[in-house]
Amino acid sequence: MGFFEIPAFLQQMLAEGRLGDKTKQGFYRKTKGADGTKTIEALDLRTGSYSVQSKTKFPLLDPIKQENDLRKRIKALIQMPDKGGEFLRQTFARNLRYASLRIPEICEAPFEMDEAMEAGFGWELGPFALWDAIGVREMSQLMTLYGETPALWVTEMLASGLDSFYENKEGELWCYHPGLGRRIQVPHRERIVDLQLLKPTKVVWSNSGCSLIDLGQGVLNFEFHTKMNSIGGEVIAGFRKSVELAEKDFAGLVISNSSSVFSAGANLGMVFMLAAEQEYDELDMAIRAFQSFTMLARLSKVPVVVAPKGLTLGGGCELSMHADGVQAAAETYVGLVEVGVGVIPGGGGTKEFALRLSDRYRQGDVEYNALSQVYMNMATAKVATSAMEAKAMGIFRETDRISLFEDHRIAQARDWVLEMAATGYKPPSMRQDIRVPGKAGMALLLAGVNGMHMGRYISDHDRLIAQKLAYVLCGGDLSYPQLVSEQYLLDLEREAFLSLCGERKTLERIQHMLKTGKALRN
Amino acid sequence: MNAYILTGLRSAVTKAPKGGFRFTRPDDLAAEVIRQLLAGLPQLDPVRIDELIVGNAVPEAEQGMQMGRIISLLALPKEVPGMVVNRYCGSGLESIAIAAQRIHCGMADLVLAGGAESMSMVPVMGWKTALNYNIAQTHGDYYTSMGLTAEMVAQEFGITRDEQDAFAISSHAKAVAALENGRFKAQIAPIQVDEVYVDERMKKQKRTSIVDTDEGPRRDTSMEALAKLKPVFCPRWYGNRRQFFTDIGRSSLCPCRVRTNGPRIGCRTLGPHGFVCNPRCGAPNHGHRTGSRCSSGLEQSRLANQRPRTNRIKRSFCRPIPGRHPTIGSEPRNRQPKRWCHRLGTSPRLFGGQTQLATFA
Repeated sequence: MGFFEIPAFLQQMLAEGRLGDKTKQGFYRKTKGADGTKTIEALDLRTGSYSVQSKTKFPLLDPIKQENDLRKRIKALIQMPDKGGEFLRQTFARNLRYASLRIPEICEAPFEMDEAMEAGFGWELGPFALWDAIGVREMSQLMTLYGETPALWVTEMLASGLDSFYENKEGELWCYHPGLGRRIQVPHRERIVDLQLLKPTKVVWSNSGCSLIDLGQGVLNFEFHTKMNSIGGEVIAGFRKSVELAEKDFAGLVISNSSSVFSAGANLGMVFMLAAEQEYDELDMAIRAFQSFTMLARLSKVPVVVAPKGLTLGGGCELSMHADGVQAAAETYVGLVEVGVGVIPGGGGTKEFALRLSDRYRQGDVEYNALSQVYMNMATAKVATSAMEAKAMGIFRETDRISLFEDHRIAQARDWVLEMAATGYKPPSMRQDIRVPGKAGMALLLAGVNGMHMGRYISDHDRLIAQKLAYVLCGGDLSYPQLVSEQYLLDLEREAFLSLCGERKTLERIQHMLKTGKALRN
Repeated sequence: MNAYILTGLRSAVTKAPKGGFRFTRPDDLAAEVIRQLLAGLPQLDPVRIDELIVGNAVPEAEQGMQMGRIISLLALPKEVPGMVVNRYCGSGLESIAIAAQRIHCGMADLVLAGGAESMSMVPVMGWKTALNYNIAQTHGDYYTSMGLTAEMVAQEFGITRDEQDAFAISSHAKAVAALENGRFKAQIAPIQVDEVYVDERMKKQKRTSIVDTDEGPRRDTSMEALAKLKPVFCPRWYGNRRQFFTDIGRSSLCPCRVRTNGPRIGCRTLGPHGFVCNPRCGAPNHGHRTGSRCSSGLEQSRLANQRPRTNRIKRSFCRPIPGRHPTIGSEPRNRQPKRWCHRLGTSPRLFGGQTQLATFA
């Protein structure tokens, strides 16, 4: 009798040669109908024969699935009264007991095992962190009921009056050490800034969409926390307030959050509403507000470093491009995807690329090659699949930095803010010297668009959007290359954005994105 | 005056960007072909050549500096002037036509004409593609690429993918047969290519090879293989890949000499060069040559009592199936294996025209 006694049904399957794909049947069997349709049948473990799968339903799961916070979600899941909940209770009871029994066999303290499971197996929370979220006392009682009593040291810990393995002391993480019989500060976390740990005690200001957290050493962290971290009115207003506070009493600002979606972009719902109602004046104000938001990251009197990770799209990408520096996790998916919703980057992104192209230009260069590469990336809504690729695409600058350990990026961003502040940071002003190619650049891009349209790679609406994008990126149909101001280009962006919001097909694209999360190519 | 083609010679055609001539400058290549051509005509004193005319489709960078003159300096006595002609796909052929015109009207006695191109070294649209804004805005079709033009022609004349593939197969077969029977040996100048390179141990090395064989024709193609290829220019039209200029490249020069009744050179001529005229363009897209037959040329030649040349050399990109439309393309006469140049099919820079001229007798 041991842990790994093979159940009878499995013995039966072995005897019957139901060994999986190699024998064309196992727990499941794929069959092809007379008309070629494939169905997957499932083995009924009681009768031993195959039948068409019946879809199971767990209606209690639906509301719980909406919960983004794993700690809240796991607690709700464990408490489900149906057989799904029972399955989870029994599974976790055994699993967590097993974990507790491995101390001191394979390590001395819970945080070591959690770190290993989180780093090596991709667990969002290790077993002991999960156990804390479920409730150590409650879970231990449940485990005892199942006959899966946890290790002795857990009982001792609970008896000494400690209700959890971990404790957040003023933003520092402490953990119970069974050998010592008390909590110690978790070591080797100097490079890690965990915003969730800081939130209980370090929030300086907040509104419903964002919080301003003191990272210490004179640096503040601006964190937004909206659905998909999209940037709407509250985030914009909150950022203005944050810069105000930072300029007054602090060395600088980091913009980051702990989500795997740094930002999915501007609040599309608001854009759609205003566009559908044809409230163009209001929409114009909204676009101006977003442009001021990104420009504020550039113009603020203190250094601003954005530390993105994961999905950083549209407005989130634009924000990153305007900051004084980007300290990105290597795994950052970043790009300007606005054409996918029928508009062009209107929060300063198009302008920013025109500016970077201008800065690259040296007398005598043939500037069209760089121009067409940049244009193609935007016109096809290309997303970089890493911070390195983002640099190659020109979304991140050569001077921007990449954190291979994403958990270190906030601390590194903070250090970079301090470095900038200490070495004579000079806030940029709005540029007046952006060299744009005008008509000559547009000719090349438009000819390319015509070719793609003739080749039926793009639709009529794609072409319209592409034409407007070419116009803005080249600074309009000027007769010869000229120097223009940042504001001039921002105005062109806004005009194009508004104009596209007046097109039915653009509204259809936005609506489709809001409903399904996917782009529509109409 | 009558104009006669004396002889012709070319380099092999190699593939861009990785073929045998990938690092060989087109001016050097042309010069070497000319030297070998002249070596085969010892009775001709090169100083008698009135001029060199070189066709080239992107006369810039390695093909710039008015390469006609550069090549004449490299390969001919300093007295022989040179010039470059650009008619895109028809550049080489046009050079020869101009040479003939010079002779017909008495402005020259002996002209060396042909073309040279490196597609490995110079991008297809040049280094700086500066298009006309007004055209891009209002007549976008003027800038239609050759590939899309081919698609349109195929659609207009109902040439199906299968027909195109079958044509391609037969093309490759004939070319391969011609290669294997050594049919091209007489017309190709073997070129020595010297390569200086750095090996894996960062040591400088040298090696030499002789390039004398065309790299285009495929022994291994089949209907199944072709059917798997996706259309390059328009996913939803007919086109097939055949061998488009993405994988065709390299240069070759095919000088032809055109002679008059004047002082004899003492060699057999290949034949009289008749009238050449450019068919009227039908659609504005630049590759598409539908439209009238070369009637004015025929009229003139009838007046001059010459038997009109029945082979119209096709210059443009599209190679429709013979028999589908009388005014497009030339019939491969007698299916002679030598007439394989249209297998190269699509690229203008393949000197199909010049090669045809040089190889008919």
